[in-house]
Order: sequence, then C-alpha cells, then structure tokens
Amino acid sequence: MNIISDLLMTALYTVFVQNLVLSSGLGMSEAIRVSTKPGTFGKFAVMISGFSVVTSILCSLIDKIAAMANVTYAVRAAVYGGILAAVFIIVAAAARFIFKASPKFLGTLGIAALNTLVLAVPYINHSAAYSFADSIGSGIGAGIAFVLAAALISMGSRILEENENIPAIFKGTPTMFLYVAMLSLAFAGFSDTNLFA
Amino acid sequence: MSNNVSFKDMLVKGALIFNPVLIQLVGLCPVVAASTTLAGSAALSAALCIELTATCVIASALFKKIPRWVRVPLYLIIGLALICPVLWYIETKTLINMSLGMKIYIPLIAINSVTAVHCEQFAVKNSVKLAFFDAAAVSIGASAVMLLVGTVREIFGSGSLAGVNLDLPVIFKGMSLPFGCLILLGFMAAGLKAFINYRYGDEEETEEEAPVEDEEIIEDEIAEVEIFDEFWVEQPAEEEPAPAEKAQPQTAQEIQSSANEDIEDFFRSIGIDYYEKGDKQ
Amino acid sequence: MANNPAKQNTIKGSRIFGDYLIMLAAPCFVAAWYHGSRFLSVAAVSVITALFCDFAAKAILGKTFHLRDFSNIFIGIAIALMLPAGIPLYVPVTAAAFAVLAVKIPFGGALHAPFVPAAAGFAFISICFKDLIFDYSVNSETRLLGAESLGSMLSKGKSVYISTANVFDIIAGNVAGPMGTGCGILMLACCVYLFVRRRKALLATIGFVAACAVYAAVSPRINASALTSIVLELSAGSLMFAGVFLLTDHATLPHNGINRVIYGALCGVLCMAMRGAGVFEETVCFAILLANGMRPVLDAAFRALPSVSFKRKEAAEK
Repeated sequence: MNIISDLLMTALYTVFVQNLVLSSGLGMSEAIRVSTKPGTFGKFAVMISGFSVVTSILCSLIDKIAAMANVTYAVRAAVYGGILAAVFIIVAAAARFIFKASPKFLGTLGIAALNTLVLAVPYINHSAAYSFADSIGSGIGAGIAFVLAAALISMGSRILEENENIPAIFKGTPTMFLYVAMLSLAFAGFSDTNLFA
Repeated sequence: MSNNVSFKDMLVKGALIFNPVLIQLVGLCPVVAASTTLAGSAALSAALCIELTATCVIASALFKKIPRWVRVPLYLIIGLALICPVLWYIETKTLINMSLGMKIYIPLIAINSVTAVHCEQFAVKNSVKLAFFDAAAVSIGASAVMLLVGTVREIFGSGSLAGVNLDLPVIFKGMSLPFGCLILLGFMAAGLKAFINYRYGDEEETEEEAPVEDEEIIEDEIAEVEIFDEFWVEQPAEEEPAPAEKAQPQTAQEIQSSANEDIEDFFRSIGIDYYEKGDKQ
Repeated sequence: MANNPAKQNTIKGSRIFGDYLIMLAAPCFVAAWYHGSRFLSVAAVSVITALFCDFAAKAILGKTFHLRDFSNIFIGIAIALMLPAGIPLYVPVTAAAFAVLAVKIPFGGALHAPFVPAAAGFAFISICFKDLIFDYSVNSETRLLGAESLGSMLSKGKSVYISTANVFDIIAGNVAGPMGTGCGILMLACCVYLFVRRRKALLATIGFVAACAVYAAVSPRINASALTSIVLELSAGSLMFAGVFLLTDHATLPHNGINRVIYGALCGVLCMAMRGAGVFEETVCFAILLANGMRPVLDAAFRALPSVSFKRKEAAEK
C-alpha cells in the first residue's frame, strides 16, 4: 500500500504542486503544439507517461550502480540522453516493423518521447532522491501534467480566438504567451520556487 | 532550389520576422525555465548556437536518406555529443561554479524543439550552405531573446546584472519564475509585431476601434429570470460561434500554421522549397 | 425565460462595475473605520495607478480612455481591501499596474479578460512580496488574537476555541487580516445586493462557499470540530470577499447556471487544496486564476454532455 500511495502522491505532486509544464516550463513548446489537436490528448498522455516511466526506471537502475554515484552532470546527461534515445529507437522500430505503424504515428511518437519534459524526469528523480515508486509516479504525473497543460491551453486559445476586443498588437502569440503566463501564475499558488533552484 | 540567397535575407527573416521563440513558439523551455540571469542566458545561448548549427549542418550533409524516425533521435545524440564534453570540461577542469539548474538545462538544449523543427523542416531538404544560414539565423534570433530575457529577469528578479548587485529598492521575485518570463515574452512578441508592422508595412492590418467598454451592451442575467427556472428548463443549445474572419492568427494551431505558411511563402519567393509538402519519410 | 428573445436581458458594462462599487462601499467604510488614513492612502494610490496605467496603455494603443470605465476603480479598491494595513505603497501600485497592463489591456478590457485582473494583480504581489502581504502586525494590537491572523494560525495547525464571547469578533472581522475583507456579515449583505442585481452570478459564490465548507469539515487543518474548522476557514483572509467580488466577475463566469455552481465548487476545492499544500497563507486569488483557466474546459465538457430536459410541468404546457 505504501508503494501505491507514494506513487499516487508523487504523481499528484507532479501534476498540481509542481506542474512540470506550466510551473517549470518543461515541454512547453510541445504542449502548445499538441494543444491544437485535442483528439490526441489521450494518446499523448499514454505515450509521455510510458516513455517517462520506462526512462525513469532504467535511469534509476543505472543510478544504483556504484560508478554512477559521483559522476559529473555531463556524464549523467550523456547516460540519461542515451537511454532515452535507445528506448525511443527500440519502441519506434518495434512500431515500424512489427506493428507496421504509419509515419504519422511515428511522428507523434517522436514528439511524445523526445522532448525536454521526458528527459527532465530522470533528473527530477535523481535530484529529489525519489524511490522506485516515486520515479514511476513522477513519470505518470509528467504525462498527465502535459495533457492538463495542453487541454488548458487548447481551450484558452479558443476563447482568445472568439475575443474580438483584443488589441491588434496583442493578437496571436502575445496573448497566447500571456494566457499561458496566467496559468503558470495560478499554479505558482502551489509552489513559488523554480525547479532545480 | 536556389543557393543564391544572402545571409542577410535569411537573418532578417529567420531571426526577426519569424523569430523562433516569439513567433514560432519553439524552444520555450530554456528561455522560460532557465534564462533567469544574464550569465545563464549567455551559456544557454552559446550551447544552442553550437548545437543547432552543427546538428543542422550534419543533418543536411548526411541524413537526407535516413528515415525520419531514425533521424530525430540522432539529433539528440549529436547534441549530447557536442554539449556533454564541453560541460564535462567546465565541471572538472575549470573553476567555473555552475548552478544545478544550468548543469541540467544546458544538456536539455540537445533535445530542444528548435533543433528538431529546423533540422526536419529545413536542413534535411536543403543544401549544407542554406542549412548553415538558417541555423545561424535562428540561433541568433533565439539567443537575442534569451539574452534580453535573462538581462531583464536578472535586473528585476534578482536586483543584479551579471552578478553585480544594483541595490534596487524593489525586487520582483515573480520575474524569476516561469510566469514572469512568459509575461515578458508576451510583451516582447507584441513589441516585435509592432516593429515588423512599422518597418515592413502591413497595410492590411488596421485596427478598428473596439466598442467603448463602459457603453458596451452585453447579455446578462438580470432579475427577470427566475433563478431556479434556469436549472430545470431546457436551455437553448449553446451555439458554436460562427468562424470569424481570420485577419490575425490567434489559436496556437493558426499561429503555428500561419508561421509555417509564411515561412514557406517567404522561402518559396526566394527560390527555396522550405517545407516539402507530403513528406512521407 | 432566458430563451425568450423578448426577455433577453442586456446590461451596460458600466452597470456591472457600478454595482460592484456600490457593494464595495460597505467594506471600504469598515476598512476606513479600522485603519483610517492608511486604507484611504493605499486605496487612492491603487486606484490612481490603475487609472493611469489604463490611460497610458490606451494612449499608446490609440484607443479612447473613458473615466466611466469603472473597472479601474474596482480593481484598485479590491486590491487595496485585500492588503494589510502596514503595506508599503509600492505594493498596491505594482498590483494595480500588473492587473491593468498584463491582464485587462492585452485581453481586450475587464469585460472580456479570461482572468480576473484584480486576482492576477494580488497573486503577482503575493509572490513578489510574500513577507509584506501577510504581515498583519500594524493596527492589530487591540484585535482578538493580536497580530496573528486566522490564516497564519490555521497554516500552523493552531486552533481557536469558538465561544459566544469571540464568535462575533471572528465573523465581524475583528482579527488581524486584510484591511477590508474580514467582515463576514458585510459579505452576506453584499450577497443580498448581488442577489437582487445579478442573482445568477451568485450561483458561483454558493458553490464556492459550499465547497470550502465541505472541504474544511472533511479535511480540517486543525484539531478541532468540523464547525470550528468551517468558521475559521471561511473567516480567514479574503476568501469570502473573493467569492463575492472576484469569482462573480462577468467575463469569467461560465454560461450555464449549473456550470457556475460547479465552477465555484472547483474554485473552492482548489483554494482549500492550495491552503493545505501550497506555500501561501491566502490562496484564493491563485485558485480563482486556476478556475478561470479551467472554465473553458468546463464549458466544453458541459456542451459535450447529452442534453437532458427537466421541464417543469407548467413550462412544458406553455
């Protein structure tokens, strides 16, 4: 029970208290891009969570090796990045050759796997000294946080589109930035510090 | 596809008119999350310039025949191969004291969306020279934003500049947080838009005076409506608003597609097939 | 009925904020009574800043500035009422400027902004000047608990034994806290006014207060009875004030009545969750901003639901 509660608490923490996209800016470009396709939110939640969890688990296992205890962040970055690239290539190759996935699906897979959010999760696990269950929770939370952010931005962009009173100079990207800023400000009510501060 | 394009043209369009951060909304993570000081922004800018330029050139030279799903992770590996040795050297061989954030965010540059977008949409479809021009222009555009954001955030968020205390009477801690950066980016994007309209003349964009707010008549629910009727009587269906004339891109999709179309038109006008339609790779 | 074009209600924008200003008269009087010139100077600075920023921004954008746009005055006074008596004047200046320049103007005015400008302004200064915003030591010597606010006590897990001797002080706002938002009785009076003028807007307030009360009873932060927890949580900080004045903002309310209740309840849950898990003593403005962001999702979700008709008999006969 402790493992499950740890996992859930970490996932909730990652979604709300330190929303990795809106509070920390990780994967923000991808969230804005994905927000244009509400129909893919579920797919992205599963994919990002899946890649985050697998990468987190593998990185946690690697971190347990004695040689990794005192390595520099440069080496750690190479290891984590290499693991993520390897996981993606294996999954994409399986999807391509075994399941005959379409190029479009592989493109979606690339956006879901190769972004700053997924690669940052192992760093978060390491810097927060998360347990194995916590690491899985943060991986799942990353996917949910991404989709929550994408959904909020998606709906927000619609009401911005309907708003004809926005001054011409602010139409488009300026109001998009300000809208996301207000969402980020709202999440700062949970935590007012920078990630990795 | 023409190679007779001057770097100046590419620079104006790539760095200014289609600024990757302010107009195309790519590469936001390092700007929003990590550009809190001038020194940090400079480090991130240097990493981005080196990584983006090298990756685009390599992609243009070597990756044209490789399937897309293999190319994308290769960008990450190339980026890490370029950044990690430098970072390792700084960490172990110099006395530079990097913050934890920098140690993590600098390697994250390797997986930045700017790289993926510009390698996939330009570099692998054009010559090495044009890929270099494009990457350099985009790097300069993104770096300029990062440096400006880092400077403003350090002054107002920390009360210092390049580590030197300015003894400001008031410090706004919020400027160091992501939302502070996003607000700054919003105003910078508005300023850039105004500058482009002024400099390059967008005659079509004339702003109509909005209705005066305090005289505006809006629908509301005043006393005539019995409160509980609202609950139990079927409400008229909420009609989807009629699609308005799209004078300006407003949704994220429109912003992306508008920016992409504009880039495509621009490059086509100067003889470059920037976006290859129906890429089946 | 609402779907009858003959009875389709319309309203001038100035009337909405005019009503708010009338409602604000009572808390302003209480704040001036308790804090005198301190409140008046903070409110004046805040209002003047909001007006000036609006004027300057509209001048730059080439738009017409109208003094009859009461939203600036509302933003200024609402922010001033939520601040402590000892606040330096640059803090309300910052909040009012942020509310107008970062929210009201870019999104096309207070009647169209997807976020409540005053809430955004207060949230911004809560982050920037956290220590100043929640320092209630000035003018608190004669208050019920001295300089310690209810919010501060609750965040530390400390309780107050509520009796007939002190309950009136608590609900009348005679405890350390923001200058003009602590008096629960006045907020009820404002609710009555709002009920007469814009009763459907009050649905959000009802949902909000109910959710806060339920949350306080179910998950109390103090070792006390559910009733004590409810009274203290609802009386702490600017919760009731924000529920009446900020949550009912016209531009950010959902379209449908039931949705407004859900919206208010969502905001209440977020507010209480932030109080428990967050880093601020007063979180209602952050919760309102988050609920503002979730409002389009609520509206879309409601539209996606299958339509179910519960016509009353007489309505059906008509």
